[in-house]
Order: sequence, then C-alpha cells, then structure tokens
Amino acid sequence: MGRSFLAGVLATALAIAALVCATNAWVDPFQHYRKPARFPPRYYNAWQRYENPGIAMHYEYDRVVTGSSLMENILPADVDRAMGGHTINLSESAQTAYDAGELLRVALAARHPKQVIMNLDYNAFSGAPDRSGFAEPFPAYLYDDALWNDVPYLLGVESTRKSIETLLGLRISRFGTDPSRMWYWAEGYQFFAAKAVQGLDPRDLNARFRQPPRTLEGMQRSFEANLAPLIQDYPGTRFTFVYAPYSILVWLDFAQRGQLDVSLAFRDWLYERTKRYPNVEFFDFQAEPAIVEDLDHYTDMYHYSPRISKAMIAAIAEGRYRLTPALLAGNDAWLRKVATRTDPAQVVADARARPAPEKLDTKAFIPPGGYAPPQ
Amino acid sequence: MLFNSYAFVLAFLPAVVLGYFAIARLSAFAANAFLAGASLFFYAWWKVDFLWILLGSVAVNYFVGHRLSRDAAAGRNERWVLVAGIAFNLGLLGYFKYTDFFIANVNAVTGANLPLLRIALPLGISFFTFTQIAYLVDAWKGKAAEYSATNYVLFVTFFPHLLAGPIIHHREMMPQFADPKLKRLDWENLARGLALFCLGLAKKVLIADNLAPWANAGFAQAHALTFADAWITMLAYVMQLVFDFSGYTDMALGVALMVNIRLPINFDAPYRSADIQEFWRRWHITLSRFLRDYVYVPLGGNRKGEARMLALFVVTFAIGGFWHGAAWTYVIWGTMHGVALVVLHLWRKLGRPLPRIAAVAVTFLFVSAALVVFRAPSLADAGAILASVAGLHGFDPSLTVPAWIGLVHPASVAERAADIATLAVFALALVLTFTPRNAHDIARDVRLEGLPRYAFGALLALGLVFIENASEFIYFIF
Repeated sequence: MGRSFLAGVLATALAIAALVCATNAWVDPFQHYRKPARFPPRYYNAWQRYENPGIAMHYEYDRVVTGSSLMENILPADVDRAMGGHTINLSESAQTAYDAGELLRVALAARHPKQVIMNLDYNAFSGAPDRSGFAEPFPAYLYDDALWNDVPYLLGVESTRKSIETLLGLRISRFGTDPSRMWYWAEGYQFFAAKAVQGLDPRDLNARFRQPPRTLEGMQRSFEANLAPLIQDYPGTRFTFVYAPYSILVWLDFAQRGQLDVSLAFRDWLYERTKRYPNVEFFDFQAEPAIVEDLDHYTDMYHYSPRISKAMIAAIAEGRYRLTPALLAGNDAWLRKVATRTDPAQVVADARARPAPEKLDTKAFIPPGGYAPPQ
Repeated sequence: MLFNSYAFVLAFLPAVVLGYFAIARLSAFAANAFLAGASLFFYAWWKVDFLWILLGSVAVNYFVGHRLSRDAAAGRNERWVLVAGIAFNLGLLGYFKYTDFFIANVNAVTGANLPLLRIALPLGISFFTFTQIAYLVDAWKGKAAEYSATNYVLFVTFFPHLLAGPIIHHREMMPQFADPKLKRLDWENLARGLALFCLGLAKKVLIADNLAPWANAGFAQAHALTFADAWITMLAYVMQLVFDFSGYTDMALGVALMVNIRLPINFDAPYRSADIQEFWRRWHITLSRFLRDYVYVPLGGNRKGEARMLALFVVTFAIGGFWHGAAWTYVIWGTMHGVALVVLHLWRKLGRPLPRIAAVAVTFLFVSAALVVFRAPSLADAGAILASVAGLHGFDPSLTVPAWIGLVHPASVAERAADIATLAVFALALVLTFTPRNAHDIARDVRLEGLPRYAFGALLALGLVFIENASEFIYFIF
C-alpha cells in the first residue's frame, strides 16, 4: 500500500506540475522565452526585474536607457528623435548597481548596443555589492538562457498567477501594455512644490524613503563589481552616465544624515576612476539651480516630471552638461554650498505656501513639441 | 538549504533517500557516513564558512563526550570535564549570539561607545549547542556513550533536525541509526513520511508565508494601529508562527521517517491548551523537555520547597526566552510564561478550575499577547500594540494598515483580490488551529490507497508552486 500511495502522490504531483510548467512556458508571462506573439504584452511594473531580462534578450534596439525610477519616464521615441537609432528603456524602480549590472550584462551580450544611458543614483551603490533593490529573491534564473534552472519560473506562483490572468483575460495584476512606454509612471502623478513636500518632516527628510547610509569604500566596491567589468568588456559601447537631478531637499537630506561628503567624494572618485576608458562620459544635471531649486518640477523630493526627462535627453544629445574636471569641481562646490547653507524648514515652508497650478493634467507634461532644456 | 526550496524537494531529498537505501544494502556504516556527509552538504549549502564552526563544535564535543563516557564506564564522574564541555558550548553560543547584545547593554548602562562586532550567527547554533550539552550531561551520567566519530557527526548533524530542531537525545537517536532493520526501505514509512512532509510544506508555504505580509505590516507600524488593526496584527503573527514552526517540524519529521528515523514530536496543537503548563507540553515540546531536564531539575526543581520551585519556573523560562534571541523582548516573553506558570500553580490551589472552553480562551489570549512581545522589534512597540489590543487607545474598528486596507478601500482589483485571499487563509488557519487532528495524526492514519494519494499529490504540487515565494523559517534565526 505504501508503494501505491507513493506512486499516486508522485504521479499526481508530477502531472499537475507538468501542466503548470507547460502553461507558463506557453504563455511566457515574463517574456523569458520570446517576444510576445500569442498574447498582447503585459508589462508588470512590480516585476521589472523578472521581465526586463527577457525584453533585453528578445527585443530589437541599439541603445539602452536604464537606471532607477528617475529614468522610467524617458520615452524611447524622444531619445530616438534627439539622437537617432532605436532605443529601449529598461529602467527599474529602486534599481541598484547590482540590478543594473546583471541586466546590462544580458542586454550587452544579446544586442551589443552602441550606447547605454544610465543614471547614477548614489543610493544604488549602498549596501553589499550584490544587493538588489527588490524585496523578493533576485531571479537570477531569468538572466541566462539555460533551461535547467528555470524551474522557479515554470512552476512558480507569480508566473502561474499571471499566466492564468492572461489566459482568462483578467486584469488583476497591475501592468501596462504599451511597448513604447513600458515603465512610464508619470500619468496620474502631480508635480508641484506643495506636492513635493507633502508629508515631509524637515527635521528628518529621510523618514519617508528610509535610504540606508553609504560608505565610499562600499560604493567603490559596488561599482567595481557591477559596472566596471562591463565597461571594460564592451569597449564598443558608449556608457553615458547621468547624474539625474534631485530636488534640493535630497541634498539637504544628505547633509542631515552625514551623506554629503561621501556622495561628492564618489562623484570625484568615479570620474578619476573611469578617465582611462574612452567609452565613458558623464552628464551632470544635479547642480542646475533651475531644476534643483524649483520644487514645482517634482512630485516628491526625488522624482522629477517628464518635462525634465525630456529636457535631459535633449541636453545630452546636444552635449550640454557634459562633465569636465572644471565643471565637476564647480558643481561639487555649488552642491556643498547649497546643502550646507540652506534651511530645510524654510524650503518646506516656502513650498507649502506656493499655490498648486490650476490645471493638473499630467498629460500636459509630455507635449509633442518638447520643452526647452534647462539653462 | 531550505526544506521549502526546489533544490531540496526536487534534487537533494530524492537523491539522499535513494542513495541512503542503495548504500545501506552494501554497508550500514557506509549508509550512516553517507547520511552524515549529506547533512554537512545540506548545512554548507547556505554558507560554507559556517560549516567549520559546526565541525569544530562537533569535534570538541565528541572528544569531551568520549572522555566523559569512558570515565563514567570506569565509575569516575569528573565534574570538571563536564563543566568545561558545557562552558565551551555556552561560550561558543555566547560569542556568536550574545556578544553584541552585551556590548549594546554595556553601552546603554555606562554611556560607553564600544563598537558592535556584528558577528554573523551560524545557522542552527542554538539547536546543535543544546543537543550537544544534553549529550555531555547524559554521557557524564553514563546514560549515553558514543565512540564512533561518524555516528556522533550523524547524531548532531542529521539534516532534518539540524537547523531548527527538534532538540534530540543521543539515546533516542543512536539505536535507530544502529538498527539494521531500519536500513531497509520501508514503503509505509516512506509513504507516511511523504504525507507528513506534504502537510508541513503546505502549512509553511500556503498558510504561514501568506500571513507573513500582514504580520510584518502590522508590526512595522506598531504605534499607529487601531483596535481592529492591532487584533489582526497579533492574530496574524500568532497563526504565522505556529504554522511556520510546526510546518517546519512536520517536514523534518516526515523527511526523517522516509529513512526510517522517528524524531520526537515537537508540536501537538498547542493553541488548544487549557492552561500554560499544557501549552508547554504541546509547544516546542523538545525545548520544554530540555529546559526541564537540564535547567529546572538540576537547579533544584521541586525538591527544595515551593518558593524555590516557583522562582525556578520564572528563571527557567527566562533562560528559555533568552535562548531564543539576544534581546530583552525574548527575556520578557520567557519571563511572562514563567510568571504565568506561577499564577497557574497558585490558582490551582484555590480549587476553582475554569470551564475548559474558558480556560482555552484565556490561555490562547495570554499566549497571543506574549507572542506580541516575542515578535515586536522593541518593548515600546510591543507595549503600543498590546495597548491597542486592550482598547486603551479606543475601540476604533476601522482598518488602516496598507497591507489589509484593500478589504475596505481597495486601490485596485489586485489589492482587493490579494487581501481577500489572505483573509481566507487567515480564516483557514484559525479553523485548522482548533480542529482536533493535527498533521501528525493525519499522516499516521491516512488511508494509503484510493483518493487520499491524489489529494496529497495535489497538495505537494500546490506546495511546489508556492515554494517560489520561499522565505526562511522563523526559527532559523534562533
């Protein structure tokens, strides 16, 4: 009897597991095996680390935009208009250097893009070099094309849930469907000063985002482990690193938490460290007062409007804001001055006193004609 | 390696079971050596650095135990060897588990600013330390003797119990490892072991892991909970913990049974207990047994008067609490249980027993409240949650925690669906907790033909699907 029980249990489990695997392989909810053809694509915002590697493997492109949520509102069409070529945006919310390194390794091997445009978020270099910004275990099995390690994908609950939703045409999980703006999130968000400081405590500016402390050595280790090898291994790819702008409140937060020196030191170290690579360039928007000090550009202390995204791309295409040693020194000095001489309470109070724009239709932020770049 | 991982279920477990019985046909010694090697591999899978600590601990205890057994056989009871052995074990545990706790407390009391050492805690160290302390005491008393290094390694590292118990005795394990009859594949044991494993896996991945987000979310905002939020927080954790830990134990017992080894039962429907003494006979039974035999009794037990006995209740449970972790919350939790035992003892003297249903309710509420202290990041957080539970902040029935706010104000279809699913799991957990038969009973009595095998097959498949949510077992940190 024991033998028949065992056989019955294993046969039943195997049959169900095989059915689940077959369904997930057929639907392929995270686009791991193919570009969607059987079903309209679904871009699951909460599962970017699962979906981006498949997209990187199977889509056509010759330029990659990536980085944290600050980069998600860059529209590939805007980049193509400004720079030519065929761009894909593989940004990920809370992307760390590890996340970026793993993803770029896939993209570089698959398509050998001519350019990678990536923002350098200081917080992305905090913690251990293999720290992912995603709370779930990092799905390393989706970052290669080996079949043997795909069990979690083929049998896992998230793939199964999404496959069933796709097959039944349900819209339970949150997802977008437009391949031209896979991770765009600005619609539905409002960008004005009072909104940017909503819920902020000027005495503890980090209370909401709870960013961890960083050390220069830790940031250096993370860069060396995750990005330096890619720069060396792909000399034909231009790595355009972007210091995307934060609001002044972020710099005040850095000063508040003793993170200002380490942030500026990292900028200096990285510039020196990568000087030897002709395929590396930097663009720095963080010391542009028109963006940094005008909180009407933000929905919170970190995230700027698509207007800024578009302006950055235009500026990069025209070669403006490109870092030189002199500009780096000047920008560092300005950031240090602003961060140490500005009163956070005053900034927050001023922002709260500013009236909200009358019309808050966020679609107005992405007009077809584009915007003037910041001066 | 986690029991709830694809690597374990699909590769390690089948390979070990098949390999063990295949090798056992050739040599019993080789089969035990294979099992010991597999157990070390299982341990090292997580972090190979910890393997050396485990092996060092095993080696020292083997030699000390060897000496104690030899002396006991010769009629010599050299206490200093035992004391040295126990000191080594407590020193090892103390260094890895409690160093930073003591530094932090010294800093707090003296105002010093000594840096914390941030020592990584080797997995299962609390369990393999207690197992070996028990072995040394038994060897000193002449109740245990182990002269085979391979057998000793297997006894301590046998992978089903290595990381989170049950805490075993040498005398209940070694006869099983030595019995040649148990080296033959037994289809019924294999079947019932698999059934128990399936139930444990389901308890872990279908119930405990699905309640975890609610428990975590509630404890994360301990100071902003309404009356209703606080009750959900407390009960979600109470259910998560019992299904997590007893699920782990069911898997451990099931896996051991597959190779014809019976580990001691560690859980027996503890939330159905009618008093706190009964609770500790049903909850983490092998820890209770250890604390009774190796702490409470040696310190005097009930042999030195009632006052000493009552004091020992509190001391023993405070030590038990401290064993769980280097934080005052654990000490307070243990002390609460010790005090509850004292109260029970005094109440019994009054000769006015409560009706069983009321006794079960009171015990469950006490255990739940104590578990809030156990889980809370700080005593202040625990106090805030318990105050909300008791209605000291009012009796606001509204739900405000984002993790379950979708029950009343869903932001999306997804959020509502997720919260309703969690609520259903919550309800299922409550029902299962108070049903009369536990997983062990079900696996022991299940009919091995007909429909049950398909039901267990479906349960295993469902467990495999939900494994991808894999999380560590709560007791791995202890």
